[in-house]
Amino acid sequence: MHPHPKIRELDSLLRRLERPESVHARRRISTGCGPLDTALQGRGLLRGSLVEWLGDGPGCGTGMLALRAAREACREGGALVVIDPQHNFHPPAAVAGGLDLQRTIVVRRVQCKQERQGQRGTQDQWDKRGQWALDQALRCPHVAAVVAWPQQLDSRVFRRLQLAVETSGCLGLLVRPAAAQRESSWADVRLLISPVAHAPASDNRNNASHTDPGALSWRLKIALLRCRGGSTQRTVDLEIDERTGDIHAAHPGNLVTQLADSTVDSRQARA
Amino acid sequence: MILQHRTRRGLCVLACSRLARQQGVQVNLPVAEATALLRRADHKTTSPTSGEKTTLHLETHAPAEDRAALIKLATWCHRFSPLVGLEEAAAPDTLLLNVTGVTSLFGGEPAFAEQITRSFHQQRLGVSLGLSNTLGAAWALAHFGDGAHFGYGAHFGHHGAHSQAESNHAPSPETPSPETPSPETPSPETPSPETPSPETPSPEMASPEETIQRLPLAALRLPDETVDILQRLGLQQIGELLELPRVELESRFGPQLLQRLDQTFGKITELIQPIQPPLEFVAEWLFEYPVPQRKAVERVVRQLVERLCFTLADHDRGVVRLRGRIVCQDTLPVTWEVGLFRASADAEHVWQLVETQLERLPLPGPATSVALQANHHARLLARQQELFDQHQRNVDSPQIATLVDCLASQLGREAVVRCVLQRDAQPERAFCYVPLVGGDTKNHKTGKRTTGSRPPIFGLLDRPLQLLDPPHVLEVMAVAPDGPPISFCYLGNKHEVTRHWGPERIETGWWRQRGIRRDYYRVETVEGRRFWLFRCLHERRWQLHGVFE
Repeated sequence: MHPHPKIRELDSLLRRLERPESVHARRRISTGCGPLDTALQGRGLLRGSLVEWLGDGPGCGTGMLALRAAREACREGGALVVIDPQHNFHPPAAVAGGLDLQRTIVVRRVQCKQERQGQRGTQDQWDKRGQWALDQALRCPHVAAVVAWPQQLDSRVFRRLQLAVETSGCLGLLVRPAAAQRESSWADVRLLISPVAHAPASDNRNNASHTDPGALSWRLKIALLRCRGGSTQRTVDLEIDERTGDIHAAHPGNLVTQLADSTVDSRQARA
Repeated sequence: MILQHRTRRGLCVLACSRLARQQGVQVNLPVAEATALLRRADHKTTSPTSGEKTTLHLETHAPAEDRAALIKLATWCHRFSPLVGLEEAAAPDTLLLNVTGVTSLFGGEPAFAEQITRSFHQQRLGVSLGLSNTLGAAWALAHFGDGAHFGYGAHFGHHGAHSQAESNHAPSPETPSPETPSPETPSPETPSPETPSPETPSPEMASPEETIQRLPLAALRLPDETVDILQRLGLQQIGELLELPRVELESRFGPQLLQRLDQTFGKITELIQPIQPPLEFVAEWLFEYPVPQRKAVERVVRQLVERLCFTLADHDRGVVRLRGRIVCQDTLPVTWEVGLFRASADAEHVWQLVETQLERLPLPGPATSVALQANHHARLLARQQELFDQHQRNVDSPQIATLVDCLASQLGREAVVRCVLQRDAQPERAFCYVPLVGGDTKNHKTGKRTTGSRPPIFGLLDRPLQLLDPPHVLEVMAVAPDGPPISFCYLGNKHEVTRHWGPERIETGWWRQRGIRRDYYRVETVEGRRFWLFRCLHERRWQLHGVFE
């Protein structure tokens, strides 16, 4: 005799409940950039993992891309925690990137008296407290993603953070300088973001309102330094549309133009 | 003193003081006429030698503020009765007190009435009292009684009505009533003529029922139109209504007339809608002798936290901000404060937060007493647990509240915040941070601007994610004095600009003391890096304000 459909449904739900806690680990979420998702085995990032976004110097859009991934992680619900030790976080830009401020908790550094006087010890103290705050946020099962700018992370702390995200299923997004490449990492994915020089079609140093299609986008290069269970040493060229904010793969035509322009420039330089 | 309100005829007198009434000012008189009347009278009465003039004080009627003041007064009246309420009317001016079994505590009804009158006078408020078995009768006596009849010990009606004391008062000095004495005049020593003297009842005092029957029809709390019609029919007193057949009264004047009659004579029970006194949650411990051991003090604090949380939970409340105080011998007391993201009555959770604070506090001497007070408390929000939601993330979950509390207790209240965008052109002021714990976020600088129009939403690449505060002063090269930058130095590196967007003029108004006038440029360097620079038009220098991080 076949069981009643309701009984079958309840039975499947019970089996889901009794499954091990690592269920969330199998879920994947988009990075918010199609080409990058494709590079990450076409499925994006794993829940319950750490992702390192290494920025090759200032002004290369690392935090912006990390926040985009955080926005995708928050689509299924949960809070976003932003740990901002440098007091540099600019909420209007985050809103422009699609973040919901009502669901965002910002952890800032409160300057004490000694700190205002420039004492060195307080910086180290805050680094430890910032790491502790990061650890706490990553452990919370109702936090969808944490974006942090940790300056230093030793291997032991890193491992603790990894265990924390595995327990909670949270996505940890760590924005760090490119110098962190030399340090050991417990992150599942490590990305290096570098800017790509714009190759103007005509004379440079003009206002960007000219008709060159490349002038309406910002080009970035993402090198996939590490990806657990996937191929590494892949590079993705991105273009961010100035007007719409859409991110797509760099147009190959621009590369040709760039190469052509660079040869012209080099000839001019030689002359 | 005149209380004015706006009508179709313009500004009219709603109420006035006794002094103004003596000069001929009446209710519904246009304010201009009333002012002229008073000036004329003042001119006549002012002696040329003394030159003293009576100043006219005009106030605009604010019903909402009156009601708020009356509620405040009702809260104060809880010292006379555990059950205090307001009359059910559009513009209430009467407090209702259930004094069943209370008067004996004050030495009887006359002494009780005297105590109330004295207390109101000390507050510089006039009061007119009525005490009776039914609410309607008490209201009638308070408003239309001659002062000699309070209905002490009255027992008309057999429907188990509570004895009601009613105080009709002038709610505040700003809102005098024509029936009540002027707030300036009464004093405990010289009660006003309107204030009844309970100690000197009339020797030929009629029975309470007869007293009510002699009162005018308006004492029945009927609409003015109904009273007018009844008066035109030749009826003046309540007693005359009782002689008419009830069936006809109902068919001619509707059910309200009979309802009011029955309420006044106790045939229908009328209830007071009570005003709840504000809850205070305090837990205190006095040591028999000064205790130097820190652990003992901490144990006491923990017990107090448990006691406070138990009391709060009993009232379905949770603590949002908790203030603690340890009084030490021969030194200043040690105080601390704990804020919570959401109201909680979980003693263990609250204790963890308190313990974090206590760990940092030195105990300067032996403790003599410990006190905890829930400064800010709110209703507990119960959330039903779901069976299959273990993978669903929720911002309103208790775990998020615990995380926020935990972070705030370690890092400080100002360290765990939420962002609020503001409609301000100046980038530094286009947002603010509001602490998440401790409640009372209304007083924070969220600003009224946020409630008005919505702040602008920018494009993805219009504003940088990293905003430097303060802006970084730069050495910039530009071809034209007001032109875009060509190159600049930042962190020891020279950046050549290949593309730029701008200028975007951001300027604040003259009303702001430190106004700004800036031309902003988004620039892209040769390497492809993006920055946000501005030229300060006041100081004629370049600064870096943001990095597209």
